[in-house]
Amino acid sequence: MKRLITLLFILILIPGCSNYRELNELGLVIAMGIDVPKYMENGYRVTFQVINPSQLSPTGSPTGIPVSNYTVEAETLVDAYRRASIIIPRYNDVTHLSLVVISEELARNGTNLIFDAFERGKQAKTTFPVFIARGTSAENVLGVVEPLESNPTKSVRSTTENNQKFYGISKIIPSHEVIATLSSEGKDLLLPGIKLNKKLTSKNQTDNLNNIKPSVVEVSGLAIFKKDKLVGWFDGEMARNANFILSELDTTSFPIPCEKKYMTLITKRSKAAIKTLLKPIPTLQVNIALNTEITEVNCNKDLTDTKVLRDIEKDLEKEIIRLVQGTIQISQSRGTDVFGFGTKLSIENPSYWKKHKKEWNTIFSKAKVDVNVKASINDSGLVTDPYEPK
Amino acid sequence: MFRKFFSKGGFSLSGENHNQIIPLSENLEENIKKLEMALGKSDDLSVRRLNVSANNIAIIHIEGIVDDQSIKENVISPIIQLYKENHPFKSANEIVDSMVQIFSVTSVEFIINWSELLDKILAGDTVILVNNSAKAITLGTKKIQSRSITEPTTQTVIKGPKDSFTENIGTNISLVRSRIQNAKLRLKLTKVGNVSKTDVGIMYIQGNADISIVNEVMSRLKKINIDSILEANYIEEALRDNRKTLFPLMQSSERPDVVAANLLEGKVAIIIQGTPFVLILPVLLIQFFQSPEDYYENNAFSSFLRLIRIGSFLLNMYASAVYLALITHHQGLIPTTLMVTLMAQRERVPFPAIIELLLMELAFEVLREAGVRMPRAIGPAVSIVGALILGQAAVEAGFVSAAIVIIVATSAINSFTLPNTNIVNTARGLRFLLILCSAFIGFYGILLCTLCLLVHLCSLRSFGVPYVAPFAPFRMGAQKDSLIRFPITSLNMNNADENKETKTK
Amino acid sequence: MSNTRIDGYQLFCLIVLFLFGTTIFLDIGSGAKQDAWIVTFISPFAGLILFTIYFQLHKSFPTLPLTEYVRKIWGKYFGSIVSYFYIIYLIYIAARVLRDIEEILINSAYYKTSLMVVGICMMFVLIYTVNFGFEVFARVACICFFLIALTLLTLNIMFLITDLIHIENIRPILSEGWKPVVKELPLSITVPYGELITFSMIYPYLDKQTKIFKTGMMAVLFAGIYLTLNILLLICILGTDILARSSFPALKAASFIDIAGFIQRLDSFVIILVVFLGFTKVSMFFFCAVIGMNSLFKIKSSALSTYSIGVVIFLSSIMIAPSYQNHLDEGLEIVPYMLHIPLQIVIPLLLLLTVLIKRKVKNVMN
Repeated sequence: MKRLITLLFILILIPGCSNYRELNELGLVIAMGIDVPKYMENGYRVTFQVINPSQLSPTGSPTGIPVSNYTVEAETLVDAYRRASIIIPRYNDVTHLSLVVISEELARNGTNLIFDAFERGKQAKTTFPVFIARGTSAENVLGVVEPLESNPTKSVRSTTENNQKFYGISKIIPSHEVIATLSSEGKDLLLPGIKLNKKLTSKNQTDNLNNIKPSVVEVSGLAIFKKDKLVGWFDGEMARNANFILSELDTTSFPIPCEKKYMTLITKRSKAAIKTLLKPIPTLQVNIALNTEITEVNCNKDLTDTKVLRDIEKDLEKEIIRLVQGTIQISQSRGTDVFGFGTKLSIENPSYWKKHKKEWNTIFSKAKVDVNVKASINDSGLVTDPYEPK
Repeated sequence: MFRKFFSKGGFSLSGENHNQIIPLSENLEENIKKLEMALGKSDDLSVRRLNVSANNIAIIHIEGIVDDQSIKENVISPIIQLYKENHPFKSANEIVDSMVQIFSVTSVEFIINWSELLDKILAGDTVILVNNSAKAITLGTKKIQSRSITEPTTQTVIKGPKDSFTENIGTNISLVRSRIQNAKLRLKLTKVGNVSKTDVGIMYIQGNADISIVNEVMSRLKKINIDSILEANYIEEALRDNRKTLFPLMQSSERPDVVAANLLEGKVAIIIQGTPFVLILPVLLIQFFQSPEDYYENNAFSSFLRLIRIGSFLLNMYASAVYLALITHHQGLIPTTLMVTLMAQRERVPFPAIIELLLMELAFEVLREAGVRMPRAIGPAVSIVGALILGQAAVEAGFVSAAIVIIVATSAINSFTLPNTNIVNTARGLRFLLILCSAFIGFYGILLCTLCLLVHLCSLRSFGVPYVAPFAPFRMGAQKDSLIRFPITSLNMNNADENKETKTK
Repeated sequence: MSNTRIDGYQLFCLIVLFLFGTTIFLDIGSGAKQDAWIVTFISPFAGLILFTIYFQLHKSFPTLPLTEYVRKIWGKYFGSIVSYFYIIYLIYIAARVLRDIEEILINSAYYKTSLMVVGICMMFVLIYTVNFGFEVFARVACICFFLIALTLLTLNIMFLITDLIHIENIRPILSEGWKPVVKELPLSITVPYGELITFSMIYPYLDKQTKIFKTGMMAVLFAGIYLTLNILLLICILGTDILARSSFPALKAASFIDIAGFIQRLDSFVIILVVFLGFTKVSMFFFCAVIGMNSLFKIKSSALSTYSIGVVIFLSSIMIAPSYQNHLDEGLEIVPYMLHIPLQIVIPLLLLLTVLIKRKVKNVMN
């Protein structure tokens, strides 16, 4: 009994340095926007988006905006984080960070080791996606409240996820993959871009919620990086082709011209294999296989004839070859290998890679491109021939 | 007619303070006066005086605990008959010796000393004293009013036998005997308790049970130095090994089929007069999660139910502690949307999380106690009021957050799935310990507390059998009936000399 | 002491848990980059050789623990000094492992708590356990084995469900040749497998004498295979770069899991593994140190000796290194060559040689 009491006395001294934090003391930071500083020489201008929980209370009445943005400028990210306590009324907590937006200007100057703070830190986990704010600042992107999603973070993420599944011109990249790609020698970085599709019409944020045509964030292509600097963009369809080559396309739609009008094919499953051949000259080879389905026909073709289908497949293949070659040429003109041809080479031919990895970018820009596509049409929907207005 | 069983080597040990053997006197009136003094002129002592061949005899019994009908027909009538026959007896002793022939009672004994006389009268026997003889006759006429056999109140099953033990030791023994009609079933009776002198019986199956355990139990029962035994728990606490622990080291059951099955597996049962709960020992931890219904239903379904019981036991212990650890120390583990909702709920609550949790837990314990003692008439109404409306009102008033109410209600409901209440009370106590540990250091505290509990459990022995038996010295064969149940044909249910550690039920 | 009997299953669980220890979390063999799994694959076989040496020594003196038969082989005075070194060695390794546990916990979930608090709490549980004796601990290890197997299974299933495993990370195989692999081998053999020498202290407690070798062999191979799979998994998930740079690769891999946006940030889940495995390992060393101390100084085993050694281990765990980097450096550069190799390989070999020579001499004399 005496032992128990002494034990309890000792244990009572412990909670002094314990990790106990109440939920209502926390200010959850769910998104960060990083820009070039306005009032400082070097450093960052960081915007923290903090959740305002009372707006989401089930017994309270949601009148206002569920998040609040706080902006500070500092030399480094962690310094900004600590300095934000000047204005954030609660204990900052980054454990639920789920979005980081970097502005284009900052990315063009070079991101350097911006992600080291996240990787080294004990609170933030590197599963959050990274975006580039295109043509605007990250602060503005995080400042738009849309009616459909409850907070801007969610709207950026879900717009991108939706797009990735539906159209494929964007993708969600978790930051640990960003770090892995930045530090790998054979592959360069591609990051999704976000822009605002129209300026906010009034200063008051909540007016946007009442507008039947609210201003929203728009997914806008993939950013091409060389080492850690942003050097160009893949826009629209080029971005989709880049995803094609990286085998990260879910489904997308291809309009194929037929008789001055178009028919639409949807790709269901696509797989691309990339290879670097060295003989006789370095060649970048891409082999794509895809399954498609006809979903909309605006011209009169007889779809029950297999020869007609074969022709359509050939058209599709030609179109894709053209697009993919164009995409790779853009990448070659920038001098960066964003598709991972170098990594493949390092796996298959390690000795050559060891000798030539320093000048890989130049070899890559001058290499020949060889694309092979195999498309197959699986079905044509619930009807065979389109109806004819008579 | 009640039948008392005496085994071959049985002894009947009464009280502890009969160190002196005081013989009966030869004078009838002296004996009667002494008896009345000893009982304090108690008004329910009935003395009937008769005369047989000019010798006074007295028929003495205590009203209420004897079978009146039996005394009238089988004791007094034959004596009157004897009187009418007017047989000449030479001495009082001869009267005594020949009277034993006329009584139609199943047990007849001679007694010659005083304390035995007192014990027998208090036990419900009828004593016949003859003038001028120092020998007296006792007749077994005990009959105690008791409850008839009804459904068990605490360990109910849906499909299975629905009789339960009563407070009468004879009925209980008969219920067990009728299920095991085998000569190897042994019974040993003793009296325990200095003042109350309660009948306590030990039953076991010769050849199945470990004889060292039986002897150990007998010797410990003899050593009990306590005034009264009113319920099974008195014996349970007195018999346990010398370790302080919250975990029950004996199982108590109200159902004869459970006792019979345990006896067949080699366990020892202790039946106590005055309580329908029978103690079964030695016990393994896994037995508390097994209900007799597991064997009366389909084995796949029963295995599933067993796993659910174990899961709900663990949930009962850990739910509040894990919730507290999550919201105070490890906020990173909660998904973001849930986190936002929880934060919104906690905005208006004035207490810190741990105080809130303890308040709700204590409130629930109070509600539970009140529910047990409420009169039947207003019971359901108050429980609905208590549970639903008070909880709702407390949330709306801002005293507690809704999530805490759900967590506490979950752990409370999960405590009702177990068929044995002994271990549930343990879990209720341990829950508070876990909550305290989790408030200090979150998950680490919970894990360390779990380790301490594991070490404590592994060190317990119930009468020499390790408490965590089928798992810790891992026996593959015993796994067939511990966590899940294999079909009956593949279980070893038909042999007498199996290793004691492998049997579980 | 002679009443406790541990059987084959319990020995198996004990050895496997002991070998898992902290190797599952720490950075072993990553100097070889993507060939680290080859290092982990070869080590169990070398570990088996070590195990055989210890077993042969045990067979010559079946009822004595290590500290006792060292004294028998090399004489009372010199043998006592060597035994004493072994006891100090055991306490030191216990303190190192305890420090590892403290560091992992503080770096992942408890960044505000101090090292001492985490250590004190663990030490309370350890002292409580050791007070009960070895048989109780063996039973606890059995149950812990199931719990840990369950946790590991859940974690691996979650890794499989999410899209995290990239098998190309393993290639190119052996691109740098065998040199990095061979360089990593000494450390990888001594750290989990060489520590099997502690089991020499508890062999007298075992039940069936004949099956120790078979059980031990199965346990070592089982642990080796699982550790190899573990490293393979980590390489596939993290890639060689992050693997080489992160302090706790398993925690990092667990933090990548994100299932349906609901189950995420699971590195606190890994705390379960850390606590249970660390507990088993430290108590094993603790037990052997207590047994050695009691037999060497002829003290009756009581609570006092347990408490004192417990306090010594705890205080040493704080004092052995001022920072985590220092602790790692010590563990990678100094300890294997100055402590592990002499005490785990050289001295047992010498002991075995002495026994063989003595036997031959005796045969010749007869």
